Amino acid sequence: MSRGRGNICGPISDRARGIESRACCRETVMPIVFVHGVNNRDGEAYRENEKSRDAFLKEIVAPALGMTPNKLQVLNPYWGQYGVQFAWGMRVLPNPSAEFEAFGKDAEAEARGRVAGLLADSHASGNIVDLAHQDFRAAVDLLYASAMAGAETEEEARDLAKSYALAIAYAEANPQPAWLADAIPDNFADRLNHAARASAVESFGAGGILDSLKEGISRLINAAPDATTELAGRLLRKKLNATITRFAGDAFVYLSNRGTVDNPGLIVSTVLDDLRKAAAISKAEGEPLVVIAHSFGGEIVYDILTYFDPGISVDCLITVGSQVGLFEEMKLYKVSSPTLPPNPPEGRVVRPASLKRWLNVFDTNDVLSYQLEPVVAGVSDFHYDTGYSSLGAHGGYFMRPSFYKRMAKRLAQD
Amino acid sequence: MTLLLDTAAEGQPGTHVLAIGVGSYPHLLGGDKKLAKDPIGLGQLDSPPVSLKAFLDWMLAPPGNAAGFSNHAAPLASVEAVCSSKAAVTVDTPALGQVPLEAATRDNIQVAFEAWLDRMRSHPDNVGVFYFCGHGVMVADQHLLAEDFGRTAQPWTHAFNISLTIRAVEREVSGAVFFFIDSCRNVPRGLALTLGADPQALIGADLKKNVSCQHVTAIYATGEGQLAFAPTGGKVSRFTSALLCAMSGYCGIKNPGEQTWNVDGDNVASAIRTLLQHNEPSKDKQVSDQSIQGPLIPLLRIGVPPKVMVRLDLAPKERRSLYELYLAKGANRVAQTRVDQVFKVDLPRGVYEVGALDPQGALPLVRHEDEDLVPPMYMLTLKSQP
Repeated sequence: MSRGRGNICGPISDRARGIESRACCRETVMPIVFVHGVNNRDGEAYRENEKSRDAFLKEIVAPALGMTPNKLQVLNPYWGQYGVQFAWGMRVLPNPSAEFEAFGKDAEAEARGRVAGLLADSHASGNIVDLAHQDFRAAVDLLYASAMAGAETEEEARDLAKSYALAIAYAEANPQPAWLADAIPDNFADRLNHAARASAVESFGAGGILDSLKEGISRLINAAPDATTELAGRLLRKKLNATITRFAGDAFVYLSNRGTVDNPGLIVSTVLDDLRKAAAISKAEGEPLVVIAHSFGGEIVYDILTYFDPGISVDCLITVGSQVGLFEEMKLYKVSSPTLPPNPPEGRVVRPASLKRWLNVFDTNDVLSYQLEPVVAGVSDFHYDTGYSSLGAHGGYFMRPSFYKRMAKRLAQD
Repeated sequence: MTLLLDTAAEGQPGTHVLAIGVGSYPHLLGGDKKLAKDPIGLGQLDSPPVSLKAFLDWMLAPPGNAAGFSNHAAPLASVEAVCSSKAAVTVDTPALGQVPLEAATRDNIQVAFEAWLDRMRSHPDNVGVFYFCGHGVMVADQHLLAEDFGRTAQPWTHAFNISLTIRAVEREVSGAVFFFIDSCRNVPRGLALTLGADPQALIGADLKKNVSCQHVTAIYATGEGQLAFAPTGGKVSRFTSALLCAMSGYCGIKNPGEQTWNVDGDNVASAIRTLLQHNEPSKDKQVSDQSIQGPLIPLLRIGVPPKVMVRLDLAPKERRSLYELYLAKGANRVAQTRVDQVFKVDLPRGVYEVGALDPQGALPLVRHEDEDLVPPMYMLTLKSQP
């Protein structure tokens, strides 16, 4: 049975049936709430991640759901300012120096730093052509991830996301195109863009997307030495230490300050406000409400849907690299009961009643992601290989354009 | 170089045309020669040879044609063209019959340009036309790419700087020159970040000389940093279509005391802007960049008044088939009665009464008196309320 586009609520609901029967591109507004995890602090990197994520959601996920991209409204409640504060600025770390800043202070230097991290985490070479010979699709994915790392405006990010959709479709149809045989890094983006481009008009010049891609290649080439040097090693150690420290810190702060239904804490209030706004839009527009929660964001959403406001109706929750199951195993939620289920490990706790569908995405390389099916009934676990190692995988999901494509596919299917 | 027409009369001013079209780029994407190290995303184009031929056919149209060159003060004196295309391009000429065009390599463009400039210098009141259709890029200046762009490791030796060329021509001739540049003007990162990527002008600008040219119009197909477009499938480009349409009776101002309407830099530029704006309802908007200097000197002198392309519609659309849409000027009246489509008609410029009436008399009359119909277009959607 074909469930068609827009079927994001699992067992087909009346709402989903409504979506199926509508025209290809709906003009109603559909809300998606993205709840970030620990270790997010407002800054250049956070804002650029948000831009690229929003662009991929609008240009790749929305069309798969039959939505006009502009009609997808992404709400990004930011709660990082209420997370843990380190009075001594993490001076207790064994290696407290801020190696990341060695890459520079301007936006391009930061983008190059992120790409260096991406290369170091994934063990990919900076030579896009070599990678393309081994795995053309992976090369396209890496190229767009690198290009997206430097996207400065939402328009640029969305153009890149649209271009990615064409390029990856081309790569899927042509796993080893003939032109790859004599391609060089200088003209790889030109040839990919030329081969994958589909346009109703002929232009007497090349567009800005090509420059963004070439910047992506330039970043890969220039970041590769950084990624394989001692600097990258120190950077990774620093990230590992700092990430785990902040993860624990944010979790402790949340657990001790989350408050009560009558007096919710600042983190809960921030997320709850946007969830309620999105639920109102969903109701008014007759569109589903999708919530994506990364890492510890999953625990926050679970607490909200089970305790702070069980009345919020969510059509689909996607937890990514999350620890919801682990925290239930430790019985750390407001509604956790040490007697439920009565017969572990056989039994399961029930899925929140207001939640129609729950997808949980994990990467076995991600040491901070956990399965959910063994603990909660009525959820679907999916494995996604970010291509990163150890801690790099934890933040890697949303940098990879292919992740959004898989997500769109899952949302559009049972 | 290919001289398609050479009828210059000694001691008489004339109009001298140089036209260049480049669709085939063997060293760019999709070409059949070794690919340039950095093709800056550029490939083969279908439109430039077709656009060039349309431009040349218009220029060389026999006198008396509704569309075609006409200027009794500076009659067509020479037409020279080069063109690169996958298939050979031939042009039907009045004196030589079918003439194939030579390739638009950088060398051929240089030779053709120098010959054109020599002809332009032959009389102080000559009028020059320089037309280019093909790939273009810019950083500070605009550069146009010849067929052999990318042939060597220094690709920019096979391009030329049109911005500096225009500045040089202003100091070399004394009449009027019209540049129509149908190319993109985006700024490739590779070009901007490459030292030494400086295409030469077709002639150096000697700044010791004062500007001698009486009038210069330079009309670019698109704005700085923007792209220019053509429909796919080898059709005339948007800009060239607008240019040819504007020059074919959709712009012009009456010369006082004469039955002549002058098409000059001002009104052709304005018409091109309007036509580009209204004729391409696509997301890829193209806004012409234009520069007009000095006293206006006509490019064309036409013996009939310019026309206005009228597009008259009615809202709500479901009432359109119930109305008669009309335009009236004195005793002259044109109408479209009870047809469910936009009323399209060409009319002489002037002040008209424009309206819609229900022949059955049931629906309200819609009327606008004293509507000024100005070339090239008049667009109005009448509103039937309630």
